[in-house]
Amino acid sequence: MAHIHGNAYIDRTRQEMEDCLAQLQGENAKLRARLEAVYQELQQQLDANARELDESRDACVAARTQITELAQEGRRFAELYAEVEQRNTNLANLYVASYQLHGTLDRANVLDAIHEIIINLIGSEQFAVYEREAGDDMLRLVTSFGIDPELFDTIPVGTGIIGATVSLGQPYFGENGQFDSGVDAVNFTACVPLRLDDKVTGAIAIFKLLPQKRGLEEVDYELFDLLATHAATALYATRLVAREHEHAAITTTADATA
Amino acid sequence: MKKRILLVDDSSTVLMMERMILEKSSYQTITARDGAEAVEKAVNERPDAILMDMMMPRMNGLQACSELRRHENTRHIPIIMVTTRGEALNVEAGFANGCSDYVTKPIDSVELLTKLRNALGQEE
Repeated sequence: MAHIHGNAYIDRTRQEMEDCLAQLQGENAKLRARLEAVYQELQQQLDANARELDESRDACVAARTQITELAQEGRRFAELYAEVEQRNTNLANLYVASYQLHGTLDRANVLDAIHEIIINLIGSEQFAVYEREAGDDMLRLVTSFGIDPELFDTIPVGTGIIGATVSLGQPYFGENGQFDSGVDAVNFTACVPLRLDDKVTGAIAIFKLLPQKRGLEEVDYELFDLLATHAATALYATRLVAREHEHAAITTTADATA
Repeated sequence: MKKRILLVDDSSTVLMMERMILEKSSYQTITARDGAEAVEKAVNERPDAILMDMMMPRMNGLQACSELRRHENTRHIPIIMVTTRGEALNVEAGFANGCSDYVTKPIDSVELLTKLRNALGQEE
């Protein structure tokens, strides 16, 4: 075999190396291309994931906002429901009070109804009810609870908070201060005039509320308004009935003796 | 099936008010005007719960509670005190005589209905 020497060898080796290099470069380029393709694919995947994550985050924020809004709406409805329930209860109080006052023409029963309304619906443990005859300047105690009736049996119209309530025809409420007469307002929760048309026929004086009752509420003022007219009317009706019975008794007696 | 509640009070005003509150919330009501009538009606009619006033003639609420706790047929019935005096002493006396809970007058309808539901084991 002939040995290849010298420049031919070098040339051949160079050529082999150049071929090898070209091959390696070709493979390198292929690998780079593959790598680039994989890189692009991964980048696209990453971008897609990032987009999906953003969308999920946005959906999450939107859901949280919706939940917050729903919770607020729920609270609003609960408050509205409580208001409506309270209003219904207040109306029930007024209905019951009116029913009890006008459900009887017996004076004792009407006074019992007034008692029950003040104790159980308003929540008082000390009160007094006064009436005044037409043309009379004296208020007379007709019923009371929790006080010594002898100490409160008559009051001249215009004297003290009770008398001033009757002479002025305006209700007095403890937290509103005093009348112009400068009467001492201690130990008085409310005083309400009994009104029949434009005449003041008496008063209801509330001295003290039950211990668990913190103060007068909206329904109490509504009950006072109701008592101011309906109690007066109910008491007046009992007088008319009593007079009618007296008249009937007198007529019967007169007929019997005739 | 509607739950039946025995209302015990000598005040017709209070009974009327309680009936309006409860019947609006789909309860059936039975009434009694004193403790003795309450015991009789509870034994005969076996209500699901009792609202018991404290101060009544013939037999007061505490006495009626004690009596109901002695009866086999009524000892399990929840009894809610309805009292004008909300001080601790009165409340303690009520619990000592067998009451399950209490409300004070003037009656708050939301408080009453909540305590009744709790006593009956009902969900809102």
